Amino acid sequence: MKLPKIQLFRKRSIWPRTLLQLFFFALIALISINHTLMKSGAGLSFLPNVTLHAVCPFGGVESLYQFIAEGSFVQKVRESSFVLMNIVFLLAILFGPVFCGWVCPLGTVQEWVGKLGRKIFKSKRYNHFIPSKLDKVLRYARYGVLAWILYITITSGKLLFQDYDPYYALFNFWTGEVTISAFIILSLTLVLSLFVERPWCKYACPYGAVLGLTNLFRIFKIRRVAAACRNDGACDIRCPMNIQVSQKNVIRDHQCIACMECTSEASCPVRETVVFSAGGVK
Amino acid sequence: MKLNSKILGILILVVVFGGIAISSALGYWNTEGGGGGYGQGGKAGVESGDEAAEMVRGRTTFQDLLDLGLTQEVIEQIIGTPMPDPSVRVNLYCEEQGLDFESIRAELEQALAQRDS
Repeated sequence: MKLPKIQLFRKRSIWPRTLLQLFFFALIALISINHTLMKSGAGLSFLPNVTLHAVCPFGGVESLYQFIAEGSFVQKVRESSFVLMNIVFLLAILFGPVFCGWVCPLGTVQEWVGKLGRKIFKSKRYNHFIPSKLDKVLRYARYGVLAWILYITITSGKLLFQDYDPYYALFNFWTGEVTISAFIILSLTLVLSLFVERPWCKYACPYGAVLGLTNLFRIFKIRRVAAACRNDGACDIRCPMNIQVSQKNVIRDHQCIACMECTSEASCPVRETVVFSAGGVK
Repeated sequence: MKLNSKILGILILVVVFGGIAISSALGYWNTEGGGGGYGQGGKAGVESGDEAAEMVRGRTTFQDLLDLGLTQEVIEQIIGTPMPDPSVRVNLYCEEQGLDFESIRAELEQALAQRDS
């Protein structure tokens, strides 16, 4: 019996994602630096003088309760955060947590550090240091972090999470406003990124926890065509979130960040086998 | 319907910046403090010609205070530190220095009222 012809091609990168990550990292870094420069009257005129809080969509999530109850926002959170939160939710309902995989600058920095880790430990060992049983349990810790943040924000009406936020520390380390605890968490995140891909996203990110839930019902999903799959595990090895793509037909894992690294456009060597689509695939 | 990464990248940019543009056109895109509620952005600040002219709001800068007639000495006395660059907004400066903006604002408004009496 003649086997169906399988068209192979070499692994490629999802370069539009790399481009967008670079763009959003540069944008947020410039906005933050500009805000500091503006205080001495030396800012860049083509950039708005806004705080990091004004362009953080998670501020909207933190303010949601206060907005519903009182019609106002938590201290430091702006209306723009609320708008961005809605935009990111729309994106997540359509495409999943693309904010995490394509936009978030903290995720990008972890990936950059992770590239070094991948070179040191090679693809098969890197990102596989934590025993899978422990890893499985730890993946739910970020929901605990989310609940804690919402609790302290609702009860205080202040952005107390700023004192622990590695994202805030990353883009404000030169201002003297970052607490020691935030510095420690950022440093820990960067060091762990050498061994585990995106450790903050996997185990602690409260916004990732919220957006991850959209994987259960998002419109465009990662789908595997079982009939064409060679079960070589290329998709599993490349997945930054350690999802066993080769064991599923549709990825509904709460940790998927829609990075498309597992698809036939990148890791999967068989054309049209792992795809990003709405509705079924033939 | 399948999407490739190029299309997805473009869609992300369109949704993000299109969403910002639409919200801006509708008056919901406010990156400044002091607005309070949804859709009230851009109303904070020092306005002239009415009673609100003397109010210290989210957009008030140190330059606005000087323009209103407060001296640098009085301002420094109230904030307890040397006055920063005049273009800096009072609320952001308080935020950065860990000062309570509400009490600083009350003192500044009191100083403005005393100036006239």
